[in-house]
Amino acid sequence: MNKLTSDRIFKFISFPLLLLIAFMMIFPVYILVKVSISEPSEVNTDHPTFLVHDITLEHWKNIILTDKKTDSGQIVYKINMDELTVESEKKEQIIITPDEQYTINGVTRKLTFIDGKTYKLNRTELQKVRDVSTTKKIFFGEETIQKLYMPIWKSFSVATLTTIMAIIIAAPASYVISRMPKSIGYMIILGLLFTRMFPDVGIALPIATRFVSWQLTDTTFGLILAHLIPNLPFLAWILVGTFQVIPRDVEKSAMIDGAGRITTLRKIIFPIAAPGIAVGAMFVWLNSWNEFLYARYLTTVEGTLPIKTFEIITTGSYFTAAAYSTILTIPIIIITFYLQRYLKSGMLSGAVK
Amino acid sequence: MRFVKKYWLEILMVLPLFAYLIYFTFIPVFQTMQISFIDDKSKQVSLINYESLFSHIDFNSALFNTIFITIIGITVQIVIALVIALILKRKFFGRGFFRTIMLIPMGVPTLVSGVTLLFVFGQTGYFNELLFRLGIVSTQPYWLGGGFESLAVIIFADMWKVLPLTILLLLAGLESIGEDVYEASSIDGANGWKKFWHITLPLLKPSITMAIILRAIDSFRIFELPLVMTGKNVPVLSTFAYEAFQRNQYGLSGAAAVILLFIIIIFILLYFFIVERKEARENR
Repeated sequence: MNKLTSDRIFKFISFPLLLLIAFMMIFPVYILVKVSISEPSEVNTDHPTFLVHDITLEHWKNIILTDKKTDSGQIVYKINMDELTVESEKKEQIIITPDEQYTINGVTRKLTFIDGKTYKLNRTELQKVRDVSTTKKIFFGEETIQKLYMPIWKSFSVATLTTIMAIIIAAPASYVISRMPKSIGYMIILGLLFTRMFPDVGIALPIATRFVSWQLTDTTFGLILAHLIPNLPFLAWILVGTFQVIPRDVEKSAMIDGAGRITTLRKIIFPIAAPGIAVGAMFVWLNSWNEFLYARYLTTVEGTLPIKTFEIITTGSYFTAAAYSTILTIPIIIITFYLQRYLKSGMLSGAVK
Repeated sequence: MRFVKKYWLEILMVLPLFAYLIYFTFIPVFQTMQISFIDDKSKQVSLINYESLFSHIDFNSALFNTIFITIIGITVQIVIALVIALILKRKFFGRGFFRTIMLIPMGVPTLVSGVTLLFVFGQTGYFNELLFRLGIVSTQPYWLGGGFESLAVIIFADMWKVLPLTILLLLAGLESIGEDVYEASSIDGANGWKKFWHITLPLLKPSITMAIILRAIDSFRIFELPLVMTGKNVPVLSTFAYEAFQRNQYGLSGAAAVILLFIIIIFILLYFFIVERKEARENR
């Protein structure tokens, strides 16, 4: 009897809680997609709507058909606080009247002044500007749209080449580690784990200075070299487990049948390990596709897709950023759902960051 | 020499990985330390970077914010993840559906989750609108301008992002506890609460410890979320190091990175002493 009531109470509490948490998990993703397809007037107001009333594909069209509409990305404004006049890059004067609104959903934006100072509206100043505003014209003018395909291609090629390089370097090494005496192998695995835990900023600084002197900034090759740093120990760590499962007898019997060591590896061991390698490779691809910090340190002009998304969000183009973010997310959602049954606790700590 | 002759293939196979890790991980770490002790202007060895670091107001708040986000964030995360894992462990209608739903944030890149939560927590964002429609606020509070509320938002954002991983970790731990233990305790007359307190929690302790330490290390390194959502309003150690790098203050950036590294190494050592040593003992 006692058990029954406690069960009922448990059900009574747990289901709404579960629903609440599930809602919390989905809601931001919904918002992302919603922003990328809704009319600016639905979002750029004091009271944005929760449902999509008018679907517009304008933002998507903008980023997909961009090449005609490129812009420098940085809009230069001049603000005189008393009069609130704004001057654009092309020296056009825009007079701001109290009918206009100057924030993009409350996020402060960096303004570069004509006289050279960099300046950021702080909260109170922003509030001052907001106080006199009632309607919903976007302050930051025309959206700064940049080429979409170059970053996608760069991200894709960097991620793919990083994956291939990582397999070439890490697979043989982890095979050897898996065949070492247990105590030594264990120490090496711990060492690999240890390197994965280093803060990236601690490594990125000398890497960046080194790459600058090698003229590897902005290059695909430089990014591949950098992305391998966190991914090699990660892949090796996964693959050691994969190889350890393969019994040694398989190799031995192949050797007895007259196969050399290299033939055994090529024809027996690696084919058996192939599914494990494939899973590890997909994780590496995801990590590299998502990678932000190294790419940020090593980019001055041509960035990967995450860098581009970040640049767009800092220049304040809200809807474009939503569309870019959605593009960035799509492959990851697909691969993650495919991979979820492989997500075991061992791989968890940094699998999909 | 005979060793090399016998194991040449093995050595050849391991060498690239180790060479890469030494050249691109260990040497850079030492270089960062070196950079942190060199004065940017005079190129002399000095402690000036550390001195200016600790007198830098942004750094002090960065240090505080990082530690605050880690401690509070992990406490909240572990508690919520534990509750959800306990619920999801039971068999009920729609369990698979909820398990899948809970995994969604894991498929969202950290950067995108920052962007998305910016939409939610911005001044005219959806969170304020929700509060407004529920009648809780009449104005629009600004959550991302710094201070305690921004820290809370970042903790929420981080939690949203990593809750799936923590749930999976704890769920794996929960599922490894055998049913017979519970049956035995039921025979002894334990009720649900007592079972949780005296059986589940002690048996889950290793999983929880591992989750806490792994999450702590990740949480100290938090970078994209504060950078995207609050910029300089809420500096953390890694964004501070990054900003200093952007301003070409390499010494300052290096010093901040070294301090971050130092904190993380302490946690790695904790990990070895608490989790790994225990596992080694159990394996023996």
